[in-house]
Amino acid sequence: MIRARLGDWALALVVPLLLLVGYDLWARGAGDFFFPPLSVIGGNFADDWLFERVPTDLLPSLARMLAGYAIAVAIGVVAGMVLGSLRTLAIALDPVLQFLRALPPPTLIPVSLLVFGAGDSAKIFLIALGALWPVLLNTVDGVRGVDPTVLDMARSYRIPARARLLRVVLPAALPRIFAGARTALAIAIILMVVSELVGASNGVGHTVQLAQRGFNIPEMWAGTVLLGLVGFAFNALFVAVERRALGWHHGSTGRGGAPTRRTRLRRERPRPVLTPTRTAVAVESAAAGPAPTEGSVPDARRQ
Amino acid sequence: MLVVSDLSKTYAPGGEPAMAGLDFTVGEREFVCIVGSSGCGKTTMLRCLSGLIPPTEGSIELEGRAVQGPPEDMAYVFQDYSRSLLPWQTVAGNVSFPLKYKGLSKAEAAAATEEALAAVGLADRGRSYPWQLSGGMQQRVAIARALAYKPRILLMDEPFASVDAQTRAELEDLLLDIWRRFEITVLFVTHDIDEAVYLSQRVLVLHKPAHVFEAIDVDLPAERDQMDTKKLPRFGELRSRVLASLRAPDTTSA
Amino acid sequence: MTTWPRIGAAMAAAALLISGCGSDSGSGGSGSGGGGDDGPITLRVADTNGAPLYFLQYGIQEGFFEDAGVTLEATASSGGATVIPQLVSGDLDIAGSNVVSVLIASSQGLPLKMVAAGTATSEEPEQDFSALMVPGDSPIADISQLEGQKVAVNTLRNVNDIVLGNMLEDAGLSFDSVDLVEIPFPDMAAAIESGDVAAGVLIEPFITVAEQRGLKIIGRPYSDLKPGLQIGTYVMTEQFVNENPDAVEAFQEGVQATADAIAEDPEAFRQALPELGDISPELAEKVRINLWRGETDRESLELIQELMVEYELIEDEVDLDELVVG
Repeated sequence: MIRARLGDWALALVVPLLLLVGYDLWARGAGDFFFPPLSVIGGNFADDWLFERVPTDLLPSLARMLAGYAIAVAIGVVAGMVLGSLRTLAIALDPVLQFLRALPPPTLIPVSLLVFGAGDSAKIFLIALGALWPVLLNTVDGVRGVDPTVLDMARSYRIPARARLLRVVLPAALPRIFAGARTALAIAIILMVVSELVGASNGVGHTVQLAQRGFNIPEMWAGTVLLGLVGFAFNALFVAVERRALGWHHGSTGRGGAPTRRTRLRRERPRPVLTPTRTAVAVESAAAGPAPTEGSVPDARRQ
Repeated sequence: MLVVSDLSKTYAPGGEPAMAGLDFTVGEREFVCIVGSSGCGKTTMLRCLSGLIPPTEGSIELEGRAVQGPPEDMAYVFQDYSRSLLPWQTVAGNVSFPLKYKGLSKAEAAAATEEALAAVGLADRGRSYPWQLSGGMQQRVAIARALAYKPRILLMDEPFASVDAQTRAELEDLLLDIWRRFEITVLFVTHDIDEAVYLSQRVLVLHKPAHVFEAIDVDLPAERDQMDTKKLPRFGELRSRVLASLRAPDTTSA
Repeated sequence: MTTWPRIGAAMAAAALLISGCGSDSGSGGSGSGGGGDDGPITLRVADTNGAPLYFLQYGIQEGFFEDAGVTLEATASSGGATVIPQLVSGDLDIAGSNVVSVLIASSQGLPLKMVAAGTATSEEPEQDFSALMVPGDSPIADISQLEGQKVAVNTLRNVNDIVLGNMLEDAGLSFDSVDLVEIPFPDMAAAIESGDVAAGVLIEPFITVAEQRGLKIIGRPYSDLKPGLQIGTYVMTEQFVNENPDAVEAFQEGVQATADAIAEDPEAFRQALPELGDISPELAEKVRINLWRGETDRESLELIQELMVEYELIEDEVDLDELVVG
């Protein structure tokens, strides 16, 4: 999300409002069984999710999603760091990994039913399996992409291998890891729903499916809206966490957004021909240019 | 202090050597510059000297002990300073980073960091991040990091090649000042002949594959000044001599 | 990038659950129902895979529909809840579905008409094509012992809810004293065996397969409610029925003819099964065959509806006079 001012907030709300109003006008006119007006959907939403079904369906769904996601991130980062560091192991395991990664998790539902049964473990397994790959592969990329100079530096200062891994490689790979984790979050939410379509006895996806079975279309839509809000909220949360953890990265690659006191301090020594336009151009090109390697600072700008 | 004997390095077996028969010594508290044209094997030499890669033949001794892997009393300052600093650490964090693995307590590390930053003129920038600093300042952070480490010998790989002339002049003088005050030995690699003559007491001219073609003593007055020293006729002479040595055809190499 | 989870979740839910949902309700037929005088009428029907679909395919194979003047295109559906939206959106002319889904949809206001009867269970309880099954070594011998446990059904909000509720009430328990879990038929026997669920309601041919794996039958859900209970039905939209009375009649003719033929010669039907579906000849010999009557059995519907209201699947009963045209 862009760091925005109040005007931007207002602007961002205009399109959704227009869409909602447009839909409502059409729905009232068309009288389509499958597309009820907003007031009906809203009524169902309030009935179900404010807050009657929250403990019985929303919380179990979220708990499973978060459990699966946590497992995926933990395994993904650890395995990714191992595979990123040990070239031969990575090559040996590559075909297997590529195969497993290509399996769409929904096709594994029967397998997970067999292995784990119809309970929470099957769902958590499915979510973890699907969310694992972006984290794993991005971690491997992040580890491999660590600047050799910084590794040489660490070695030259006799920093022990374990510290190199945890204090140099891991932070350097963190931007890529976060990117993978973000994709994985979206996948986890999708699979949270998918995993509840078979062998479930509670959950948001389950509720939506039940509503569909019972031709309770407004309730079905209310659940769908809730899922959208859940996704939105988690993404916003993720971005906030990422911004704190990767403040250094955003600063060094110029992605900070509006100029702040920090970015103005970037130009330290008085330059002979420093005009406002030159500063603006410099800041803009800093914001636009991608970093050549993670964790590094393009030095051309610094002269 | 540093004794390099017959050092050779061939990367691919049966291939061309990158370094062949490198031989020189550096005495304590000396400031020695190494010049060589591009591709003569300077990088290979430095990576062997710093213990990052093993040589194929020959030996390196630092203070009487053989070098097999990065030695304890040596600090390496890289050419590409921006990529050798950790972007997620502050300036002070970067400088103190190697210190905890040297066994210093937090207080000791903090004191050493403060001292080093003051020495390079960045005493008030401890809380900044590398990306907030200019190129010259970043290199000063790298030097501070090396200083705080309290090495006996400083290995520097064209450290001022990527800064502008003005900054370079400042950094050269800063380096000389630090060399004198902290009484360290410096081995400085550069392709800039002016810089080599200005800074050092002795210039080693490298030819390809990396070996010492000629050693030239720099008998300029000990006090160096950017303007005065470079005006001296002796400066010009030495400069020409180094240049000639660089350009001379090498019939001694393999 | 920032709204991907929202779009993804919404799309996943929408795509998965509103498949086939169209934008005009009641758009009815595709125009293929008009004019039966010049050539056969083409009708598209989808029904649940298994016995319901085999019935239609048998009728096609034996030429009963052709004789009635209908070219029937039969495909497998994934259950009542998905096939009805397809019907309403115009993708199908006829939907084969269980009666409960149709009654729910109708009570919610969808304009449906039952034109013929689908599957019914045999008048003999032993030949019931449904069964409540438990592992072979399970101590459970009666539904009353399943109180508070998980029971697998292939779809929720289905006739399963009704017949199980009825069995529970007969055993003295409340209709919702078991925890229903939705598991597809092919995976159900394994789930019962492994103990994830204490029991499951299966239909043929899965019952015979499960018996061969050692599961045992402890109840006959359909027959318990009523022997010969009608389970399936064929529905068309109100608009299609009004606009294409010839097609309706022709289809009913074909269905009746097929039903009569199977009742007369079940062996011939049994022998045709390996060709029609994924059944080995050995299995075909053992499976229990459904009953097809052709015409809708009002008594079954009334019984089921009563329970649906009681179990809160629908609020009020649907007017069967309006709903049933065949």
